[in-house]
Amino acid sequence: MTEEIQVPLSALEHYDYCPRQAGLILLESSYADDASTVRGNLLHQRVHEPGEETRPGVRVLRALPVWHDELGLNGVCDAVELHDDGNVVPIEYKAGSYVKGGPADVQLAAQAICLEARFATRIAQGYIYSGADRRRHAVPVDDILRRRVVAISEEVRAVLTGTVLPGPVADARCRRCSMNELCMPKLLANQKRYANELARRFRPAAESSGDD
Amino acid sequence: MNSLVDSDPQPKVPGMTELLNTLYVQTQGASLFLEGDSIRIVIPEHTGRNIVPLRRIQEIVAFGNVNVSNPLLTRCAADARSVTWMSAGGRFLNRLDGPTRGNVLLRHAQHLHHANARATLETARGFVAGKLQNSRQILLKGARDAQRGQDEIRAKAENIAEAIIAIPEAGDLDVLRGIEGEASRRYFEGFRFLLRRDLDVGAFPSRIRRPPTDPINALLSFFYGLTRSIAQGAAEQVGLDPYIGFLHGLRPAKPALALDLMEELRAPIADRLALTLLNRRQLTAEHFETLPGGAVQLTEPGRTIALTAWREAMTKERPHRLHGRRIPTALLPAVQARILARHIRGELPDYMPWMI
Ligand code: SF4
Repeated sequence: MTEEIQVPLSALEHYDYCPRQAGLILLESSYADDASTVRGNLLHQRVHEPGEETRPGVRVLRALPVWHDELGLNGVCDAVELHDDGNVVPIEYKAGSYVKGGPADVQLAAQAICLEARFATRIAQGYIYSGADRRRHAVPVDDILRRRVVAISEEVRAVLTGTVLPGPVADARCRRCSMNELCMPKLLANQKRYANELARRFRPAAESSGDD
Repeated sequence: MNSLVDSDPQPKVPGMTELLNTLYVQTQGASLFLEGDSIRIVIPEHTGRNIVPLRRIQEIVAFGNVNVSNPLLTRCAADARSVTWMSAGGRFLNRLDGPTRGNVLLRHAQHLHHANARATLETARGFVAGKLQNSRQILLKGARDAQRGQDEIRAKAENIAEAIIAIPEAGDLDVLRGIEGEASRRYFEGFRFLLRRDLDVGAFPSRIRRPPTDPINALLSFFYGLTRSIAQGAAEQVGLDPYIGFLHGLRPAKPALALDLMEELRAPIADRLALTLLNRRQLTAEHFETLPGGAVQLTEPGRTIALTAWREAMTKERPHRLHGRRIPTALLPAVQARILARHIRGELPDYMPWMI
């Protein structure tokens, strides 16, 4: 029997942002720490202490492992509120600002789908907490978003079972991407320029006016 | 205290990992301990507290008789902070890098690449080209400032130019290594003229390693050890196997890839720095000592001067044509290792060395 390939929930968000970013993280197990991921880690360290706390009418579970057998997903929810009225509400913490309809929504919806399986319930909405504006943003878990989760899960699994990295998007996304250094999108996208550079290797260079 | 650590914040290059400090410890008998989130440095006969916060330190380099406690080593491994040991003379001994960064597909591709003689030869050409181009530039630059031997220096640079043109023609690795070896010999013949004549450290006979028996070779070896350390660290950081190289053959305990990666860095970084320190007489005969048996090495005050200069050289930004911007010297090996990794992964057609 071959091992079923599990897709980490976080990979859905990475893939939705840029397929290559997910590929670099999954296939080259490399995570470049830049200021924003470090901030994210600090924020997560706090929320990733497993445990629970109680407020009137709500129990909050932190760092809750969740999974979905059929979709082959697994991961950890930052925080899940269990309301006395039976509502289950996932909350994902992000260091940066919230982009409506962005990749974080996919991750949140995937958490909701996993939680539905675990708690035998239906989740209509969750929240993304943004560290930038220190606010919760409501994310309705609708059918469109659910279909996006299923489609992306399959695409991520295809990357995981292959050995080829998805190509670079080489657009505005790269500027904010923590993988930029490792990925080298500009250099890869401009192969003609690279080929010209290569041709220089075996020609004695003109005397450099270097400044050292 | 002779441990060197920078207190200035380093310039941050956009998109580049922040350049943190390296803690160089070279006081013989020093011990390093973990104290909370800091390193405590204890030096016999020195009272007072020497504490360096760990968050400011990216790696530790220890020379000779320096103790690093197990809790500190464990913490460094956990935080992916490397610890490198050098002999007191600056010979690279060992390096702790924490868990191998899990990059099995890249490593596998590297092994396949190595198993393909054609691919290995093509990649090796890139390392030789980088080395010869940069060595030649150092000679040309030196010829401009040299007090003597300008014609000789230019003649050697011309020999190297011919060698560069011959690189693509080499039919196998042995021929390629022959070209490299011959050009390297020419380079050091020219290098001799770049040193002022009136130095008190004696003449530069030719390149002598293991062990160096004159001050100039001792200084070169010292800087090569440090260069190797950053090249090996770069391979590890990017997830390449430092022991599977292309120009350098495989041998147990020989980090062939680190040696490949350092070829293009030797002349512009290590050799230039050695020349500067000697010609400006910042290092003189009194900074070197001869050990019983004849090996020569830097004295402790000499090492302090060399390390201070090295640390400054590492923060200096150098132009990188491919990236279209300047890059701190300390990060150059990692940038080159990434280009190599992308080539090995089949995303770039060949390896492009950094050319000054
Ligand atoms: S740098 Fe650009 S192409 Fe590369 S992973 Fe990031 S977003 Fe994707």
